[in-house]
Amino acid sequence: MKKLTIEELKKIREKAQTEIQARSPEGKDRIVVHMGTCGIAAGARETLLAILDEIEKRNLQNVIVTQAGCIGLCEYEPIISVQKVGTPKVLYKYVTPEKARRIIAQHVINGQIVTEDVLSTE
Amino acid sequence: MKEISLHILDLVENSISAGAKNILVEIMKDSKFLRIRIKDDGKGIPEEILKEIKNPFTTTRKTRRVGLGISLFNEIVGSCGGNLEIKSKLGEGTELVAILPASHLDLPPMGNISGTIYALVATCPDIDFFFKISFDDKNFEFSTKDLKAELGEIPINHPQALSFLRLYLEKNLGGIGI
Repeated sequence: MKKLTIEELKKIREKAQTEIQARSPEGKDRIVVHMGTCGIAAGARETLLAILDEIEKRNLQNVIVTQAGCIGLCEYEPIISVQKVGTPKVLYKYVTPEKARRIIAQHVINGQIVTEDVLSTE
Repeated sequence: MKEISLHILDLVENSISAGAKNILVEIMKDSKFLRIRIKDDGKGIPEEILKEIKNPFTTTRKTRRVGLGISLFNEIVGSCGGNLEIKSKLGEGTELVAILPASHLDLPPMGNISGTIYALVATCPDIDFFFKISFDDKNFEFSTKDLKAELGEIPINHPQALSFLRLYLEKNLGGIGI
């Protein structure tokens, strides 16, 4: 990759190091976006990009976003799951980018499940 | 799927599911051809499955009997009069090469290729990706190994690293293929 941005990277590293030292060691909340063929065709990439955008804008360092394959519930795609530390995993259905932003604000940050979009709870 | 970049995302998902630790994605387009190459070091595809890989009722999965990703992409390649070749060795990995006529009417737009790269890198921090993109006179290469080396102990999926990555991809790939 181009070396033009090394200075920028150094700044990121310095700032992030301070934040990592200050971070709570209690574990991380986890968001999983299902990215099987069905999910991608239904718009999972755009949902994922909206989630990453919220994580970045809100600087949510205790949230990990990962991906998984199809879980056999193709008709409900895009599907995401949210698991806050110490609480059950919640599966959300038909998650558009707008719904994803709401789930981040309401569930991930404030701990309140967005009940109308829930597919199941484990 | 409306975009080639979504098919690429889907095909790379196969490599991720196959346990690949290194994935090369090469996209090259000139006035005549669009060439897509995806190479991984995943578990590989058994020979009997590889023979039928373009058939939607063939899959390596145990849970279901359909595998649509490659067959959908093969439909696109076929409708454009292109060629799709997949080679694989068990335990060594898989290589997919598609060559399509660049100006065919049925060829979908490339779409949001920077979004596809960003989505992959951000959600698979343990995988080393190498992207090599050449569009007419624009060339772009990006290795997550290089970025990880620059970031040191900061994870590649840290919000600030993600912010850098998004801007870096938009700056270098903005407008390519869309």
